[in-house]
Amino acid sequence: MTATKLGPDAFKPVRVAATEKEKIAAPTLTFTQDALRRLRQNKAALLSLWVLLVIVVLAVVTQWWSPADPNAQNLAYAYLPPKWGQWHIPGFDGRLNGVDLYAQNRVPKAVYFLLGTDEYGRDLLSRIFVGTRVSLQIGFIATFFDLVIGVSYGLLSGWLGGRVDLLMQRVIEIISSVPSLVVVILMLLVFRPGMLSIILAIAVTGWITMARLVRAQTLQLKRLEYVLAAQTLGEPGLAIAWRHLLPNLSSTVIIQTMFTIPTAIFFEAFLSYIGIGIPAPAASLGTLLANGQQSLQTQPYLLIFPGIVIVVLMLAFNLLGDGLRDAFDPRTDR
Amino acid sequence: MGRYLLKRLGYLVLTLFIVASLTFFLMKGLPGTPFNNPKLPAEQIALLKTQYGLDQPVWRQYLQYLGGLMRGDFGTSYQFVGQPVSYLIASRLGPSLQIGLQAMIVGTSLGILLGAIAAIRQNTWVDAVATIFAIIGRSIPNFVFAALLQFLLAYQMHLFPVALWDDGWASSILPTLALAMAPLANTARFMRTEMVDVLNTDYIELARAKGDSQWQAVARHALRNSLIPIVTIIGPMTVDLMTGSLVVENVFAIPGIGEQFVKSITTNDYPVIMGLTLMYSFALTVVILIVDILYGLIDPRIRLTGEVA
Repeated sequence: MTATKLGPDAFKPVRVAATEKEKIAAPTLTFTQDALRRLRQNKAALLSLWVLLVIVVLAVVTQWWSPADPNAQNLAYAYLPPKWGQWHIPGFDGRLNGVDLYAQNRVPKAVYFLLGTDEYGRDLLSRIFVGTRVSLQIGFIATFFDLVIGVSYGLLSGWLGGRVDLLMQRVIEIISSVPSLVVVILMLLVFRPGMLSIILAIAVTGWITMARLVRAQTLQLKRLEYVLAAQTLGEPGLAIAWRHLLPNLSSTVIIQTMFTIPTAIFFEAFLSYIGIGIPAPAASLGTLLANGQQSLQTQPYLLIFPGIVIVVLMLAFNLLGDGLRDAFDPRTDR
Repeated sequence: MGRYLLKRLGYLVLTLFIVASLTFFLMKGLPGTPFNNPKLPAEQIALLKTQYGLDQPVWRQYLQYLGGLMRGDFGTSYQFVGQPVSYLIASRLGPSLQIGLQAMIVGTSLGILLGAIAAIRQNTWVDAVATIFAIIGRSIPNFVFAALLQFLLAYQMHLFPVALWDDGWASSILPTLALAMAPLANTARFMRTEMVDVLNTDYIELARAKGDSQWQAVARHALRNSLIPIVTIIGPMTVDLMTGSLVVENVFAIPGIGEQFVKSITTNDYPVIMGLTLMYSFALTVVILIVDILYGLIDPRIRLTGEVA
């Protein structure tokens, strides 16, 4: 054991400047910066974000550069299995149960479909792109209603309180005691199946949870001192709600939005799947899946590929949502 | 308690009244008639209209409809001429209830098990596997999962009947599994959170300090306390099961109310749609009421008051 040699220097008082003493070593982070830092540590959420970005870019770009016309029918090319050029990848070599269907149907060598074709010879890959685009559109429209109706409804109800709150909450209670599915189906009956009626249905039912969460949070926030301060300074009520409460609600809103999107995507696919969503010639992940279901025994790839796409889409949104919640609200775990 | 119950029952009746009125007027507002077959002669259509009471003014039809509801009469189906809606629903309720209840039991019990194990083995590979399983379960749409089960276990391995409801209990296994996935994933997620919270409480620490092993502490103290909040997810779970039954019954061709609902929608059989809408709303409101009462009974800290939370 060696003793540390202490010279006389070690006993001199250390002089530290006053400013140095008060310095905070770690950089100060705003709430958002802190949340983003936590989000970056979450690998699953980051991966999901990248996957979603890729999907969004692909879905948007293929609106102009699609591998094939998603609605072009060619009965000569019906039910062709996936084929990737001349490569021999099992499952992607144009063979189904050992039979080369491309050779059997005398398809020219240069023609191949990456994910195969359906019963009308339409390219599955192109149709999946269209379906994904529909799903994403629905997701973003649902977000829009969630933000516009849900947030303002919850904010008004919580902020105004009293009788208005009571009435607004009874309305919410009644809407939510009807299964949203039933509301959606009623809307679809009134406004014929199609994109518009799905959107309207989401507009009626989709914002309930958001409104509830925002109201609960508003009730808590409006008792805080900064609200009192703003009131004392003579700021009008709604301006306080808008300028002071809303920014403090942002984490609740962001988190809830991330759960609204997959729910809406699921709903559209679900409705199209049971045949009351997007009508027949147009593609949506739901109609593709319903179609694939019918030929599951003979052409399983028609179900498998749209299935993978919707699962990946839902998984990515759910993981990102979980990640955002952990990042913005670290107290609640999972 | 008595007042609370009375108030809640009042809301239940009000809700159902609003739903019934809304669906009625929505259906009345729809363009066209159910009897738009151009081959039908005019007098035939007039006869049909009289038969269904459609020649009466709307307000009288409305009162008749409400009066019928009081007596349990939901009207007559358009699609199956002469069949009362109540009979149609009653005859198809069995399979749906069976699958729904089975799925609920399987889903919650497996979910509780999975969630509890994940919480006890927190931050280990067991936890990671359980969490991944729960997230995947939440992300696979039930119709994709149903089709997958059907393809792998029925077509490929021939373990279960592919579809239909004619093979006794065996026919209900795959639909139950398909339907149980969402409740399972949700319960597991919820249970894990609750269990982690409970395991961090002082009384668990006390139990460990007095010599309980980890498993003893879990079995005697943690499990029961973390089960209490699970009761609250029964409401949303019921909604999931109702929604799920629509597709699962279609995938497996089960003669249940979900399948009937979809059929009625595609054939514009308004009386049946109205009846089923009311039935779904009734079931959901009753379940939520029961859950709220149960919650108060299980956890004495929560007092039921006249206030509706």
